[in-house]
Amino acid sequence: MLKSITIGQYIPGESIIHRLDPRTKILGTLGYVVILFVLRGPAGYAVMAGITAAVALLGRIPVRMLLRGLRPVLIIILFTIVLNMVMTPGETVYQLGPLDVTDEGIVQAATMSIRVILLIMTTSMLTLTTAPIDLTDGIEYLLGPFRRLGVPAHELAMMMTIALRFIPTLVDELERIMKAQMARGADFDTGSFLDRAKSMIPLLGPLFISAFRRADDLALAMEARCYRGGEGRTRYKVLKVSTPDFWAGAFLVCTFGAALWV
Amino acid sequence: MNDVRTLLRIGLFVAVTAGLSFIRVPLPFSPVPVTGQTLGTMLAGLLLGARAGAVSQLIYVLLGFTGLPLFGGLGGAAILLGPAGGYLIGMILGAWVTGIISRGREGVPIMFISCLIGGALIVYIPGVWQLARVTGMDIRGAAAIGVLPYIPGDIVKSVAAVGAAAKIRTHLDLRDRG
Repeated sequence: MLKSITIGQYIPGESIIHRLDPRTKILGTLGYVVILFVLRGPAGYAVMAGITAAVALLGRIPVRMLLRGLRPVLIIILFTIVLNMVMTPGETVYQLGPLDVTDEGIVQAATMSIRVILLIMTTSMLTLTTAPIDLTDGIEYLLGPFRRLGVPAHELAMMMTIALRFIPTLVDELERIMKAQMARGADFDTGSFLDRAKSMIPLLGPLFISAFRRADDLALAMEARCYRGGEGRTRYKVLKVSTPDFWAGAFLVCTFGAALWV
Repeated sequence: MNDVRTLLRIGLFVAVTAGLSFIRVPLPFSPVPVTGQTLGTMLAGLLLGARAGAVSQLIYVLLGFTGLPLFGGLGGAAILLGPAGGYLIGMILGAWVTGIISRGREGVPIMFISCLIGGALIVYIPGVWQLARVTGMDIRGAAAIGVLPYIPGDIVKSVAAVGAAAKIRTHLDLRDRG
């Protein structure tokens, strides 16, 4: 599971949503999140739900995948619902022991949970339809204008990509060290939770030392190939804004406007 | 130390923190689990220093924000904006503070204290604030369920961080000199 992390949730596909420029998708998602938090009233939420449904249909994203994204936050959602129902002042509708469920509270709980559900479904659609490398490319471009303010856009994107590349390496390395120590009698599988946690500590030293060695080797390899940062770099894959991106932008601006207006 | 090397070491610590986030113990009474993430924060502060350590945690949070499941199998804007999101923001500050306190000091006690302050205390400030704001609890209630249950874990993590960092520091010194 840990090894598949770098692909994240990305499902390769050929749909129009997949082919949109990552910048369009990032800006669209950010816009969606902002609108979701300034919205008032149920009609606005209906419009936002409509946008999510339209993107899911166009992107041919299986409903199963969207629901799977919700599973880990289920507890948080239940927590917000219960807390909002009993903590919001208003007219009491139902008595639950010492706690009052208020009408205001029910409305508040419904809005909060719908907001969280839409938020998670939509943000996960960004990563379902965009490969992480394209996302970091997009982030680099979008941060580009801030370079004058001292934001090292290229370096940030580079470090993100490197981090993704290191995760599988670290997992491999950890497995190797664990096997080496097990062959010499280390025990990782038995004993209380605390015992097992303690047996992990001798792994940290060798893991970090070999990881640092790999990082420094990669640095040397990059320097040997004259890596010198973002200035004047050419790309194998060039991001291009095309007609569908304009349509997507226009669609989002109109629907966001509608959501705020209704 | 040259620039490309720092760049790669920062990338390495992003990966380390992400890996450690998979060590997690959920608590039934709280939306915030005990995780290994802050061990990454402590180690980043101790081994990379304040600036680079903070940058590594910032990139970790940014990557998780894009939806990669780096927060212990979860990810995305929702986690960052949710009840436990403040702790993630706190990790950026925490690595910086750990680095500031432990800079140029080799002693084990001072490293341990820098871990407790940077990797625990500082992380709690935005953590508890956001927990209270999102769930509608008052600050005192949020602190009760958002700090107290995690203190034993913080001590264990600080000990592990100092133990590992002391070993790795000597090793790196030898390498950097050679």
